[in-house]
Amino acid sequence: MKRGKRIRFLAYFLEILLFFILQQAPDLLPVIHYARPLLLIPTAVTIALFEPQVASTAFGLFCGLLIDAGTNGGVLGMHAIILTVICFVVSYLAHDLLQINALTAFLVCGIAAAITIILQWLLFYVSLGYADPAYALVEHYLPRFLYTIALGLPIYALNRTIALRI
Amino acid sequence: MNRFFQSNQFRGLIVVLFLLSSLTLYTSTAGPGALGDLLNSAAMPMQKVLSTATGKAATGAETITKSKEELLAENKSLQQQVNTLNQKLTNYYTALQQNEQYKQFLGIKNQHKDYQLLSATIIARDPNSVSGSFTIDQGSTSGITKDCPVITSAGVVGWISEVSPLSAKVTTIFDTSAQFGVRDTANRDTGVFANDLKLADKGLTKMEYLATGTTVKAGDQIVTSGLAVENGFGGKFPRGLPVGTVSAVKSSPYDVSLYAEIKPYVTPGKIRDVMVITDFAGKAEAAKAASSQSSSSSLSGASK
Repeated sequence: MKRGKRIRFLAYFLEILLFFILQQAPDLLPVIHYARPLLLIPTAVTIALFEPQVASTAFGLFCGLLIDAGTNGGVLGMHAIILTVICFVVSYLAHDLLQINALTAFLVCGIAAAITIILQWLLFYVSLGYADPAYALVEHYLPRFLYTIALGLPIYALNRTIALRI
Repeated sequence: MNRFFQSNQFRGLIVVLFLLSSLTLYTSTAGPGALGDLLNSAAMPMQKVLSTATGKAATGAETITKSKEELLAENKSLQQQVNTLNQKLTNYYTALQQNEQYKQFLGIKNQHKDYQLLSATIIARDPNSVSGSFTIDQGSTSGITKDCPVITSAGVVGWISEVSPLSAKVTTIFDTSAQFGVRDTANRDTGVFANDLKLADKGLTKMEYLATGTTVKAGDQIVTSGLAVENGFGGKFPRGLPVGTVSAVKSSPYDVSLYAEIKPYVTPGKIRDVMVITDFAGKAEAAKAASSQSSSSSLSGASK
């Protein structure tokens, strides 16, 4: 592996760790309408836009495992599976079919966040038989989705800088 | 497209997905295990440092970010408080009475000499949780086990739902799955503490299954009863832990019973430090009763 590539991957690794701590830290990112953002989803997806399939899948797997570790639920692997598949597909599409720009990044982040958050709602709320699933979707999961994709573009800009400069 | 499915990368993805599915199936039944502990232990020191830093920054920012008007209003309000306190101080007998009240409050501590308390700091909040679950900086190495009650000096916060060697995850009483026995201290009426998301969003919880002629009324103090509830968490809380005060009594929309809306003493989203009750008298019996109840309910569920 070339030295530049090694440094780039190290930068991604540190970025992922930093964003994981930011998204978990109490009192750091403001809570907007009961929601806190999932920074690692746009991070993994935007890395996949610039990197080859194997590396993208590995970063998706790592981000997913970190989200699983921070989630109070006891199921390790759910987010890892989702982000591994999404990053693999995004990297494939970015290599052959997609034009990489801010709009594409925003759309891809939106789709990835929507898939992840709808699955969270289905698996951690609806399937457990809790009351008012529609209310939970609109008042809790939708703000989480919007908050997450709102941070997609700054994270895309950061990863674009890392990918093109290093 | 055929080239895509026959590529080595795609085969690698299938292998990784197979391993992850096995991990998910395993952890859904047996808990996070060694890998979960490893990830939590690796993240814990960084989270601890950052939570300390952000806590100090937030405290410092509170004074810096206030406008002149806010500071004047705060000053006025504090001056009023000082005047009130001065009046109280001049009344010797009132002060004596208050002192007696404080002694009674301290008596609660003396009543619970059996509690083994461990203080902990919140180091992470779960962004995927709708009920404000959080992670604390103490784990199994400090003697914390699953289901230990978590409190503050004001009242119940929640319980330990996952334990790693150096950290533990806490599920709060605002979680939709929270169910335990509670009691009104004024009239000893008992009910079941429960939750729904709409009430939780307003900062309220409820005490369900009150009889039609209940004497529970607004202002009453609600404490844990220590009784187990079927499919609930109940028996693992010691009796007498303060939960909140009744704000209203309403009719249940589903049956003829009533329910009381409770304003909990603790708002989990605003606290930074908690205490974990690692042991209390009767804990083993309560845990046994709760587990036998859950196993009997699962047997009856299976027979259905």
